[in-house]
Amino acid sequence: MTNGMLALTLVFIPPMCRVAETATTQVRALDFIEAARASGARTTTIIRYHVLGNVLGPVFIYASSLISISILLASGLSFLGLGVRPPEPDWGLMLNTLRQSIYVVPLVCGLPGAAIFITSICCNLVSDGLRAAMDVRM
Amino acid sequence: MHDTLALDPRDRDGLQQPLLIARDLRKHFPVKGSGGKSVQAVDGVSFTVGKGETLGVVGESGCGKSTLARLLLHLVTPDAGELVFDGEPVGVSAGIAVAASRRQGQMVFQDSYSSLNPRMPIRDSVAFGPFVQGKKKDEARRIARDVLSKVGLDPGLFGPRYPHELSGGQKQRVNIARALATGPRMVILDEPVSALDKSVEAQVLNLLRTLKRQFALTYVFISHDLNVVRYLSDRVLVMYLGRAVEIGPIDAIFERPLHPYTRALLASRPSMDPARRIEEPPITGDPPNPIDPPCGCRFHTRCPFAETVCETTDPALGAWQGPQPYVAACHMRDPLSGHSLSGNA
Repeated sequence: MTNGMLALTLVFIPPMCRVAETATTQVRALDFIEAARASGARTTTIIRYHVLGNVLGPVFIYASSLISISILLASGLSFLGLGVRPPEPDWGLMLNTLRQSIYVVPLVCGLPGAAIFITSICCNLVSDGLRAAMDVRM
Repeated sequence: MHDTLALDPRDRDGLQQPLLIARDLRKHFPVKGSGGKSVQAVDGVSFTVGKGETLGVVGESGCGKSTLARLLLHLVTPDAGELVFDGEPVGVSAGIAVAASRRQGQMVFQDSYSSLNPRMPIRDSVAFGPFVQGKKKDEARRIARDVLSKVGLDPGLFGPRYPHELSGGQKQRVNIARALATGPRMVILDEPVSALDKSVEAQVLNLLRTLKRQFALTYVFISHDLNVVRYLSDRVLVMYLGRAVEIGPIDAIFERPLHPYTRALLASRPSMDPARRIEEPPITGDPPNPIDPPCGCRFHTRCPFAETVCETTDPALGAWQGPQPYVAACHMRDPLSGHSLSGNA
């Protein structure tokens, strides 16, 4: 379990940094940063009051969209036997174990899949809600 | 107007001391992958701005006007040259620090949209300046309310709003309020009205005039709109490719421009008189590349009077303390230059 989480975290660090870097570069080029410098604000003050608020939005939105992708990837890894080991519960693992019962009770073997589906949809909806809440225009 | 200026407790040496002296300001931006070449945005510009005066700066796009504005507030560090603010050199050990000079100079930007933080209510944007300069939060808020009402925005109504809820003219008023909130003596206006439509432009220009009297301000007014410059300025500095080509009192330059570039600029204004339509563009082509400016006089590639001397020798911008009220960097003005028309000056 820990290994799987660690692997996914490591994989997602570079794109996360890229999103943060892009947002910062965009904000930094805007005139209000220069105006803040002209009023004598130090770099730390400018970061705190002017940059962070404008950069955290996109970063949070991207992070929340990564949650559903991570859930899917983790279940996929477990399904293939690369993630969680049997005594621990995992939807991907359950999907794999219940695979054989598909001709006996088809509904049961679909349940872990449905759980994965609903969870990732929910995370996506949270991400959308966050995006709307972060936008001052709405 | 001058009486209030003399009473400013920060004033040193009275009206004789110019508020700002720029000496040989230079800023070159290196171009990546060009083998050490650089864009010569501002290349040796010198001028003075007197107390209570409005200095207009005009020139084509890309001639270094905005870089000059940023140099004056040390928003970009000059490569060479000197700034003297009210008798004190800025940014050197003997003079005042850059931070201290920023308390006395502020800037209004051209793009009113990007010059306000979209996630900050405008009262906080205006209060930010006084706040970082050591005022308590309540005090800064009070100043913001005060200044907002001075620029004609009801602080109760507009204070809690965000920039996207305001029109272009209102945003520019907020920008002006933000600049005035720190109590500057000099305000640099970098094309403050060029993004506004004509009716709003007139309102903002009148507001700037009123505020100048009210706060005893000194303006450096950058624009490409010559009529606007004439309306607001006392003196004008004409820039071409990073150089000052002509500087002098606004009316004298508008009536009798010395430099051929100034003449071309003035002739390019649309005429209000249908009988005096401009038949053909007096100046053609784009300005030369500022990475590789022409040698000699920088204007010789487009100048109708260019001669050999213009290609070889760089004309000097007259004598600074000379008796004449205005000077132009042109060989035709210098009787010793060898230009065939130099006697007509």
